[in-house]
Amino acid sequence: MSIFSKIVTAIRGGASEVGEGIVDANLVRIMDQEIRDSKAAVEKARSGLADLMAEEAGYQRKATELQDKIEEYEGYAVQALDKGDEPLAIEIAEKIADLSGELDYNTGATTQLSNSIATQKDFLRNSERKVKDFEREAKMVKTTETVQKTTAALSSNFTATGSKMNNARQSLERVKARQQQNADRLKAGEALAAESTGSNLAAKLANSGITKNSGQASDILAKLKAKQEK
Amino acid sequence: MSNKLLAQLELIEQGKMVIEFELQPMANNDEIIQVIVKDQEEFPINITETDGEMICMVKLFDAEELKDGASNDMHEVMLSANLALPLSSFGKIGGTYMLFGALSANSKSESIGIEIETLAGNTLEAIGLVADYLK
Repeated sequence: MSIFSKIVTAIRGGASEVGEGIVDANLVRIMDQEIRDSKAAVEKARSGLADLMAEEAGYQRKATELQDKIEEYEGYAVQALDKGDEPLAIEIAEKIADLSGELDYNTGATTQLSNSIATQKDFLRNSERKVKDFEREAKMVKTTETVQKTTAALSSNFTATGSKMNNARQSLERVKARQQQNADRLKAGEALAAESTGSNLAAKLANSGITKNSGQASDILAKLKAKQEK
Repeated sequence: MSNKLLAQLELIEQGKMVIEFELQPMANNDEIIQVIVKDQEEFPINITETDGEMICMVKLFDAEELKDGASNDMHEVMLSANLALPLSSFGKIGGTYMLFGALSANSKSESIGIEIETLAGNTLEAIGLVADYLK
């Protein structure tokens, strides 16, 4: 059974008692050991790969050198032939044949090494994936245990404060009622603020002499004056 | 250890958030920091850190609060709702139903603030969604 299935089985079985392990301690130790072993394998594969790549680079460098040399001697051979020095040309050709043999060997070695490198890279990726898998499983166990502990603490916390008698539905209703109250209070506050702004305006108008009453008084006075003049 | 988590949570700038909250280590396990959100104190957010991950969980209710025979239908609703809920998911451990979100323990405090704010809002939505299945 995979670790994940084990965890789920344990959770479904209600293994949420404090201190009750999700998987047995022995398995946790085995997992830790597996992580260490896989990591060691990864390190080994990585350094092996580095050696192979260095070796490959060496052979490639040698091959380039040989190629250059072959071209150089081919130049000499042509010059010898131009001068009609057949024996020298043959000697040079022999040298070129030697160099070509060496180049063939180098090319062969490079091909072989590239194959080994590819295989080693596959192995390395595989080992790295194994480490990731083990680490993920270990994380599952640790996370589940933390979540369990939190749940257990929550339950006992609730009982301690005596608030467990409130079920979620009632709690939700209470929260909503409180939020509605707050919203109402805010609305009332806004209305109040608007009112006070209104009375401020009235005061300003009065200060500028633009009140309803003052208008009436001046109208009356004007009418009276008009009467007097008649 | 919890002090480190508490200090990290204290860096969250509440002035930029739509909720107000208080932080307090849980009395019986101080590795758990409770986020008590104003006006919904009934549903504290419980934050713990494990293995580089910060887990924020809210207890929704216990299985015993469910009406008889309601659990299958409710599970359907929860699974369908999971995808639509931003940042949070339903979970169950033992007989306790949870809403939770997880983020990297190295997250910026702004991201942790968003997580808390979202989880607080989602909690009320989530219970409202399944309220009909509760006693």
